[in-house]
Amino acid sequence: MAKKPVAKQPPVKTSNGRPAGLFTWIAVGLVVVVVAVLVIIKVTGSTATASGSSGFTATDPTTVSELSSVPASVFNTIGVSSPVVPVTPPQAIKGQPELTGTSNGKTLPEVFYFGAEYCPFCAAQRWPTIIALSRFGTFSGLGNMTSSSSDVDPSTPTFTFVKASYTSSYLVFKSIEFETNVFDSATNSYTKLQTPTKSQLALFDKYDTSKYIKGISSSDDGSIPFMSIGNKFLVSGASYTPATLAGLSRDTIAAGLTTTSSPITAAIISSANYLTASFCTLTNNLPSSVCTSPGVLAAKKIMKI
Amino acid sequence: MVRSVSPVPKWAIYTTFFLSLVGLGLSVYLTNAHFNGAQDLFCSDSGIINCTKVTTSAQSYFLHIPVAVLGLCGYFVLSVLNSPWGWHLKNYWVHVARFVVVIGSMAFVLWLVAAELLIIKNICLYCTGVHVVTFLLLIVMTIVCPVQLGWARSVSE
Repeated sequence: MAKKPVAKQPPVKTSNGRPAGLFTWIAVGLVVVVVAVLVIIKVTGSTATASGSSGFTATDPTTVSELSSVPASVFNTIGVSSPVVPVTPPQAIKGQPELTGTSNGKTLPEVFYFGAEYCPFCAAQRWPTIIALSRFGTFSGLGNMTSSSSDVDPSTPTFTFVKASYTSSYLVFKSIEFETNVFDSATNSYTKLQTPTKSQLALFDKYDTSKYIKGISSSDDGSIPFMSIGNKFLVSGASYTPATLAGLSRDTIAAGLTTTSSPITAAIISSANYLTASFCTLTNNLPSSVCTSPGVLAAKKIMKI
Repeated sequence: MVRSVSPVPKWAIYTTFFLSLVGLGLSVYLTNAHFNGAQDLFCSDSGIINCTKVTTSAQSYFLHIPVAVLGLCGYFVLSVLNSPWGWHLKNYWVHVARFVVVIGSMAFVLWLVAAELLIIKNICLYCTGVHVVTFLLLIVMTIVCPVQLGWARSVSE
């Protein structure tokens, strides 16, 4: 039986011979290629370890995620209740010029941290600082660190801000890690790491003193860690004892940040809620879901802000 | 010189109008979240998906304007241009503008995807929804606009 001839539809073409769908193929092709390149960069980049100064090890993404994604229920359940480990809130100061920085050409309130990698008190303070700031923005470039093995509270697990950058639409974060945790017997001190600017040094020299920090004597002037929270709140020393973290690994502490019954988590999260409350005074209580959360409200009540 | 536009198939009119309304709805939601607290978004906050991180990042502003507001304005314009009324306008340049806006939107979306993946290192589900809608609009537009504007004519016509 002869086959019935089927009328063939000619391919749709433009008048100059190009297929009518050429625009579509070019557009889709370009978008797919760009997105594929971005995904490849993301996948290969995230497995690479940052390098540079000797001994720098990038914090693994899981730990960073555990720090930056503490559930709201944990913040709210703990509030500022740390029955085992006492926690000190930041201290308010008044009448000082506001500390600001710029981000993408925009002037924002600044949080300034001055510490050192060898310092066990800085080691303790970085935990709540990173957690609290992560409620307002994003850290990248955090590194693993332990405090000096020959100081008090030796080898306290922590992080370093030496290569960290922080992006936020609410706050600017600047940090100085003044010295490493490597002791140089020739100079009888830890090796120098980052040099503060003149204005940062002036800020440190002015405010990290018994004139502004209540409860310390002049012999404690210049203690680290020091934090100026927009020049409205100050932190000098750790808000909880580094001994809390003794004998624990960084991974264990980070993984335990969802366990509200842990005294370690209670201390870190209480301190983070205090810091968050002070940050909220700089951001006009934005984001509102953070600044009006029960945990932060509990901190504000204690701090009378 | 008066330029004429060729008619556009009905499926393209309804599809682009529907997609524009979806994009407008998502933009309204994201703009509301931007001004009233990003953590109000119903979105996971663990792993790579974290809407709050994205919508509160420094990249959530472009030239000091919230990206959510830019999206809202863009999709408002597209909803008007892609309405059946907009498609039937006689002015040639309105239809050129529609095509240019969608291409520009797609370019901006690629920048935002790069920012999410490489800078913020988190992805916002609702933003991704807007990105997908923009990509689908681009596909439909590249099918119909060149023919409509006389840049490509099918032989069968």
